[in-house]
Amino acid sequence: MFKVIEIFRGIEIPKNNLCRIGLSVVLFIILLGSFAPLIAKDPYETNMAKRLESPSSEHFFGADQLGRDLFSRVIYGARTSLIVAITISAFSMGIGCLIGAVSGYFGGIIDDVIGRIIDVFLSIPEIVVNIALVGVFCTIYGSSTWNVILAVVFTNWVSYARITRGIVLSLKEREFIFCSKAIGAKSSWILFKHIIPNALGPIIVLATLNVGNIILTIASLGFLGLGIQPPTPEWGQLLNSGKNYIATAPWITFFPGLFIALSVFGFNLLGEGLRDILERRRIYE
Amino acid sequence: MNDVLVVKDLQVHFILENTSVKAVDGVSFNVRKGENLALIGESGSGKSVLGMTILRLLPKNVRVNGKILFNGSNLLELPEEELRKIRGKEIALIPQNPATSLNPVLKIGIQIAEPMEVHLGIDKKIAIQKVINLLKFFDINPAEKRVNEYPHQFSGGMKQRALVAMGTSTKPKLIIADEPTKGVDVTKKLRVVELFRRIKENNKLSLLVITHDLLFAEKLADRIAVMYCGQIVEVCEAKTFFEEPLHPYSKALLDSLPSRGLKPIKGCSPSMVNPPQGCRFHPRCEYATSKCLEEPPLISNGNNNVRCWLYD
Amino acid sequence: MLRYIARRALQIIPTILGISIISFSLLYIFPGDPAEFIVEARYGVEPTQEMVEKIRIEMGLDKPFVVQYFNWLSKAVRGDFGISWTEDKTVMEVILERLPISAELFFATFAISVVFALILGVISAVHKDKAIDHICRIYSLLGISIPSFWLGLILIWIFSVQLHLLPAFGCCELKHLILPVLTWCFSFMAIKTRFVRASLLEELSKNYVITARAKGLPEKLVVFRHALRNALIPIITYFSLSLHHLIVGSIMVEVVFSWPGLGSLLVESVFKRDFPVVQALVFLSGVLLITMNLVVDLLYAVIDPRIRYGD
Repeated sequence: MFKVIEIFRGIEIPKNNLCRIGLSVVLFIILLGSFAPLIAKDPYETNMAKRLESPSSEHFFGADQLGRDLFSRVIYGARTSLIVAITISAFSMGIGCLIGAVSGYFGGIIDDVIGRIIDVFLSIPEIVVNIALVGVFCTIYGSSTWNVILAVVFTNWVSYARITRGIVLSLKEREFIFCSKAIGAKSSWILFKHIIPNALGPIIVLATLNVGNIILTIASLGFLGLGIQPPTPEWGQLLNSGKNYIATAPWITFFPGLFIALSVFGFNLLGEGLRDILERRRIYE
Repeated sequence: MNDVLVVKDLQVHFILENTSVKAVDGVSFNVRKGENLALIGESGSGKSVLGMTILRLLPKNVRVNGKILFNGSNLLELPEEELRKIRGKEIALIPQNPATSLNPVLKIGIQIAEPMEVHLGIDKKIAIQKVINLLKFFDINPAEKRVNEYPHQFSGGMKQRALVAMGTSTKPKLIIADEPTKGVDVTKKLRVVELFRRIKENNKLSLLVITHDLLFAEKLADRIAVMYCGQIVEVCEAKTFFEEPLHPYSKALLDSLPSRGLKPIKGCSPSMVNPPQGCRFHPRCEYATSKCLEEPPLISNGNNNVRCWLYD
Repeated sequence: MLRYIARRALQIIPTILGISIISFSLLYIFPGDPAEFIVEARYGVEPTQEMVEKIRIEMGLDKPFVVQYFNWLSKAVRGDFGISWTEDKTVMEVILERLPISAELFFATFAISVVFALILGVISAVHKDKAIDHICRIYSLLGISIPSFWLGLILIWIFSVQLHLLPAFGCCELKHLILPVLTWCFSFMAIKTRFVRASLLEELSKNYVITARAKGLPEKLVVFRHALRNALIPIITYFSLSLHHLIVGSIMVEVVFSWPGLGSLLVESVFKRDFPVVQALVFLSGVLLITMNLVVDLLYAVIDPRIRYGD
């Protein structure tokens, strides 16, 4: 954690406009998700008497087609989106960084093969493969949140692998690694002392932007009816049910979408801002 | 009026996030009609910034104070459009890196013809014809073929000559040449001197050469201005400078030449963010006294000016 | 030049093979017996042992993975992706039916986006750090953050539900095209505006721009004749690369507006479990992307004199 603050020159974060706004939005969404039980009511409680009720002081965002409180479903949706997105991002990061580092560090035939595989994954359109995979997984295992996680990780690890491989390759060329080797440092020492500290910055930037993208992907799958299944509240899936009532109850569509846009925007701003800081630091050095 | 250009108390400060770099700090000098003035100094002394400031080509995060008088008008206060009419017409710049200073996707001929088209209103076809003559004059042969080539097909020397041709095409009153010998092999330096002498053959223009290359300056300059850490420390006749320089920095600079003993100047160049108090050279100066903690004025010593308490 | 083309063309073969393996595996991991499924889906009857056996041999499903893969690949490279599991047509026929509909939506979006991205990007770069630049930058971030399916629904609500101006769905007249194109343009243009801005700023920071200004050229010439001409090289590259969106480019927009193109086909096929169609779409979209990469590399060679003359 201290390392992270050091990399982004901690004090710079609040000074950078993009970072400041992005971080506030992200924290807001995280707080909503974490304290959902305190803020919201039961998102599962149906009440047909309140079916498609419009927003009021009792139901801020109105009620959905089963009379459930939309505000609560949207707040709990933040929880779902964040948990799933961070899980996917963590798995992708683990797999991708490992593969990338192995590829860059050992070089030779290993790197050739992994490099080709990375090329292949970079040239398949992600969302297409995600949709196809979720479809296949559903047929095999029935619908489950793990389908979504597996399908997205399948295409998502590659950006981490590419960036880690690039960093390791370029570090290998630099003198200080050579010097470490010359004085007889162990591989693990080089890894922890040199490679990880240097790779951390770009990977954190990538991960931040990535979480935003994944939230959008999950929502897209949800909207298509292929994502996280009801009754678990998820923004994309809320939109999917709302689209049938667009003429009579537009709020079912409006609020979940607003939260998708807001959180993706927040992560994008934060990622951009962190990248700015990182680039400026590089210029100074 | 015997001067083409008069610079008075010029200050150029780069504004960074929390500091400012004083690249040029209180510089005054003049360029006389028809003379070659060499502005010399180590890299980082602010001399290239000075050259760029004259035509206001610096990025937006700079603050410029002082006066730059050309034909009686202050270039720093001129509206953008008026200044544009001076750039490339009255004052031409021959930029520092010939390799990157030409547009890679435009034909050489078109690029050289541009100043004539824009400033003299010459039709493109006629301008290209004139470019061919210029290329011939500067030994870029076969000119008829070369005029239609792209920069990457030119050698480094040819690119520089093309840039010189571009600068001279409108017969300006002043040419600013920024580091013309940077990256040029020792064996080819004489050709650059030759090139600049040739510029002056048909034109009665003044030349401001910005360089760190003392030998080159010796071959070309009538007068020398020495820059150190954002200030001009000495302005004198070239002959005087190479025979009996006044300022201790000039002496040290000349002593560092291979032919004069290759003696390094002790210490290192000071920071431009927090320059030393008083005379900026005093921490490295052999003659420094306690008086040097105060800033010396530019002191007249016959034809020469020097910024040093030794001549007070 | 010919050798360069040949070398680049050879380089994409392993990548295409990789994509084909992934697409083929999608079908291979299908659980149970595809033959049974096909009989059910196509004839709507309880499959008999005899029929299943017939189909299994007909489709080569009794052979091992490697043999099946190479059979599939050798047909796929000739454009034969087998027969749809749910319709009595070949996969290629199903795809070709939908392609023109997708193409209409894509090219309309592409044309509009390119024009406006260029204009906005140039304005933004030239007025760097001024108000208009900030607006353009915020727009380009919003463009990639706002989900197109949400924007689409909002536009339907405004223009169809409230104002009754435009139809919410349907195809293929001009009035049907407006809302989907608008929706897609919002995100499509955002990324491109950003790219145009970045490329032009990069060029404006180069030394030859200082030369051009020192010559006393009007700023218009400096930007358009000098900087933009260079920036166009990466811009054209990037724009042409986005042609791969032609196949299943905007699934979400097509689904929202029930636009019966390839994106909708993909989603329908996933729900109908018509995996040969899914497989073919994955494969084709990957191949198109790689081919576009290749074409763009060659295009580069045509517009950049440094490459054209074999530097």
